[in-house]
Amino acid sequence: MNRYIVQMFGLPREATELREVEVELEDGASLGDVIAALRHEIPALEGHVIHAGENRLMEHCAFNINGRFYSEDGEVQIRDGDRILLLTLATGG
Amino acid sequence: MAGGYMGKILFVDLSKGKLKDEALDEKLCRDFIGGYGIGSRIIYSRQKGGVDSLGPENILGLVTGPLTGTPAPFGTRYIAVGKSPLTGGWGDANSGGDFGPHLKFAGYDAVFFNGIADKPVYLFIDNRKAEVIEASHLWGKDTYETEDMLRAEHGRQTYVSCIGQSAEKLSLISCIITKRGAAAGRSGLGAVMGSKRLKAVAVKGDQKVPLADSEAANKLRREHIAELRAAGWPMRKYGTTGGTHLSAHSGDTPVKNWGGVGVVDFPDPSGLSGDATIANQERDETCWRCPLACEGILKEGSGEYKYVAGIRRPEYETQGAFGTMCLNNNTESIAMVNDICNRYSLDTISAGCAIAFAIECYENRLITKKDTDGIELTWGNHKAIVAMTEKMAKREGFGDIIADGVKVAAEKIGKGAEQYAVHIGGQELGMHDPKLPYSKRSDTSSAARYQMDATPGRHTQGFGPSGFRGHVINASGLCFFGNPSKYIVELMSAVTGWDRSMDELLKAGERIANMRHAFNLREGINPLEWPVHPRIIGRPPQKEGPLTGVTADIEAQVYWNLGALDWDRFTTKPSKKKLLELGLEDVAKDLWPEANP
Repeated sequence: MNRYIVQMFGLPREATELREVEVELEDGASLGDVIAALRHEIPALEGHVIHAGENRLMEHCAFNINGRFYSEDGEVQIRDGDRILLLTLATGG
Repeated sequence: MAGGYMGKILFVDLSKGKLKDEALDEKLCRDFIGGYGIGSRIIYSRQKGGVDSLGPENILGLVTGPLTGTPAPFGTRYIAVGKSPLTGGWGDANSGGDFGPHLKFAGYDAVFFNGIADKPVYLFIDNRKAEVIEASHLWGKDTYETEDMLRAEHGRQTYVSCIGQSAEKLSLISCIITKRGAAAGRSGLGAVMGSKRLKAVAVKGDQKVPLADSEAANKLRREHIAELRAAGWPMRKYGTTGGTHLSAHSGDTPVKNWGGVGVVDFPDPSGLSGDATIANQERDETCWRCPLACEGILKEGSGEYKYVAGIRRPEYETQGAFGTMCLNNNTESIAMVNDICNRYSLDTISAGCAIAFAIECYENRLITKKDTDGIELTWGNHKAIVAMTEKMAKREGFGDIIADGVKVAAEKIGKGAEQYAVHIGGQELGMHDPKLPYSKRSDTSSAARYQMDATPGRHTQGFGPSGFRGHVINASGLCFFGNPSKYIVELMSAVTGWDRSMDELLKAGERIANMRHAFNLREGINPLEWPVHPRIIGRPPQKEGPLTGVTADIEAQVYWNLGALDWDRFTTKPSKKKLLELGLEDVAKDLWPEANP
């Protein structure tokens, strides 16, 4: 198991009033695993950032992992040393 | 003639004082829909390449769409079109308010101007009767005064689109204003209007926009409104300002002249929150018959900034340009500069970017207090920001240096100022960082669109096939808010009587994309040759914040989309085959002369 600091920006930060959270993940964890870990640590993310009752991000959110954006499970596997940011996608106006 | 169209275009030769009605060609409407679709087709056909954008040969158009002024809930828009003095290429600017529908009620789908009047004039249209009237009494007035005076003269049911003093003085970042703040903002088309000594277009009338199936159109309106009601009227309370304080920290809104990180350089964005923005709001404001009413009107400013009651609440782009870009968290000061820009007819995006650029020059000692007329242009100094915006609007002192945008300002300042001038093709960028994707799915053009759209720096157009839908919506006269995509096929069918699938509409969107681009190619513009400031794409990437490590892969986006468009990957010329497929035979002859027998 590896420890990761997930930094949060935009709506995730506002919804939780937290700048970051620490989660434990297996090497090769999926985005679904990351989301599950976040749901466990911060239930307040559900309904705002994470679909309630599911390990799935809402439409307006994504992860920045090592400088690339991901939002769907299966797109990436987390490795030791990865930098994980959770944020809101662009809004309109 | 199909429904949705009045069937008439007005051409005004301001040099000769001649007006001419022309019938609107039905095939033109089918192929190019309206707005900048029809606008680009007409201007390409009637204007040769290489004209002076501030000269008599440049044609300025104000063009509605088939859904403007109809039961379509967001059918409120018109688009200004013409050669942009800011970029030297195609220019268009999309505006809400009431003017577009009332241009149609006055009997016209569009009005085009060429020439230059000897003295200031305005065009007045009253139920298909058009006349050019002397406007010396209006010249020098701001847009609010102009509108009030024209309404006093012609009646309260007169709707006005006009320019303020910045456009009269040919600021390249000036715009065209209606309803005290609905702006046809981008591309510097206010200067084109000013160059023609055309102060305003005033319209009134009670012509009915024909509808192929009025019952169906109204049923769709009711359904769409019911959806919005069920969703709690999204955007009504805050307009576009509901999330600016979040966007300032999420990586969406650029910070500190595109060189900062929100959570580091702008730690307190609370002044840009929706609640802060509407704290002094008196009431909602709406464009013509729009059920969303996403805009707002303010009460009198009672704090440090004593703006009068009745001015518009700033929107997101203005909050970005004058807020996060300048590290300014003072909401009242942003209301003040928004009012200045609306009165003088300055594009708030470009104006705010120009101020941010000037601040960075000042902070880095490229300019001093001596240059800035004693104004200390420092980050977050909202008093200085307001004072310099006023100077820019009036082209006074240092304000004159920045009144034509950051590219020109950098050339005038020298000393390496261009490193702080963030633009593409001469136009400052909208307030959405392209390093952040626009949607959950893989975004194929978030960065490419800023470089490759015919009007560079635009955040509202797409690039590539994903942009065709946007062209359809824009050309139809619809506003983007309220999810128009869901109903556009049915609305277009109900209004025009043409039963077209989304694929057919998208083909029109593709044709429009090619037409706008062809205008630029004929001007000798290859957008691949426009430098892209490294801050825009993250070269090098940021080391902190939500965009840590992110570099937008603009080359890949451009490459992929050029291929998808069948545009040459080096010259960006659409293939001859593509142009002929789209029915653009004249463009094919212009761009591929060697290939013609």
